[in-house]
Amino acid sequence: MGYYSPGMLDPAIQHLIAIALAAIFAGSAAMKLYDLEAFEGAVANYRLLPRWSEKPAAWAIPIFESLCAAGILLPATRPVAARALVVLLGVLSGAVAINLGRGRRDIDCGCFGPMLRQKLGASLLARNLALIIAALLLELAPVARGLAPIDYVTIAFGAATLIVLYASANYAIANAPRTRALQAL
Amino acid sequence: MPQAIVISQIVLWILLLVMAGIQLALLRQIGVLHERIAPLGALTIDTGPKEGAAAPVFELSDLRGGRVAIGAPSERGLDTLVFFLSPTCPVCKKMLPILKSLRAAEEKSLRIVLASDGERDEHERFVAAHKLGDFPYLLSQELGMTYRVAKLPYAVLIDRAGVVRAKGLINSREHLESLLEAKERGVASIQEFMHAAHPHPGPPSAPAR
Repeated sequence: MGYYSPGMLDPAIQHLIAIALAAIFAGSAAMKLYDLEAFEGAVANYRLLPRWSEKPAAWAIPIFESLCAAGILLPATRPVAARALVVLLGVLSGAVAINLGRGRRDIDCGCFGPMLRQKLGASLLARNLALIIAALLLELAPVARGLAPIDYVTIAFGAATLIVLYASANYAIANAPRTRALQAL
Repeated sequence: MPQAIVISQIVLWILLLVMAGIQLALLRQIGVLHERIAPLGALTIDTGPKEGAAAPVFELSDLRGGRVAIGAPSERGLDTLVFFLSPTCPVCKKMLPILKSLRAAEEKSLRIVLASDGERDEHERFVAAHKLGDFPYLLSQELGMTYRVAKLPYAVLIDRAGVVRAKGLINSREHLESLLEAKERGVASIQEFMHAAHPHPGPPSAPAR
């Protein structure tokens, strides 16, 4: 396959990832904005920010997420938006890691507002790492080739499947501590 | 042949998406099952002072500087409910109106004491925001450590003679009432009551620890 060179990726795969990431972050922004008060509580529980900045941060995070989601859809702004997502995910993962280091595993992640409660754990960091890798793939230059009709099938179904699998993984992460608690009885 | 591969590709995508959807539904159902099988009574965490044992005696000062005795026999003949909470715990906030109505209902027999630890001004803001001024409010890490409070909200019921009668993790009005019920029935916890009602085969659990 001569057309592949290092640092390039097939455009169909990039579109697929971009649509999935955009939907994932638009969704998580919407869930946080839906109950900002609860998300503000989650931000405060991380105990990293001074009190006056908790409310602005609770606003800023979902707004930043939705801007990234929109930016990632347009090929022109895609690399910038992808880099912004990598930074956001890095910061949020750092906040999770610091609290894991403090032993505060039982606070709510806040990732999905009140819709899904996840306790902090290594699995959240692994999930964020997967998202970071996906975003980094969008920074690669697309291979120059036209899209065939079958590519649109790949993009649409691939993105839909990724979104559903991502939601499944999050339910599995949310269930894990409760399953462990039952095993310990 | 290329057409057959395109068709097969589309069929595979559809089936994969359906499978992913079924998997999502299953994982959600597991979450719902976890909610349903959560204990109905207040769950006792079996450490710290035992039910039926004398409560360790504490003499602590509350947020407004008054002295509050925990664990000593009550001069006024009141039982004491020590409710452990934190300003950052959402379930604790949900329990506050329930505590207020419980206090109004059991005024003649029950004293409710709130307990927490941490920064003083954070708690003063919490007390002001939720109008908790007429509850004794203690800040003591030692009290929480003695009762091995690992999860919040947590409550310990101490009777007028200074004996621990019931304790447990509290998430609802039912949990709170189960503590009072446990005391009235003379059992240590809803779990013990259930065990007594439905004895199951196997060695008795009491001497296990």
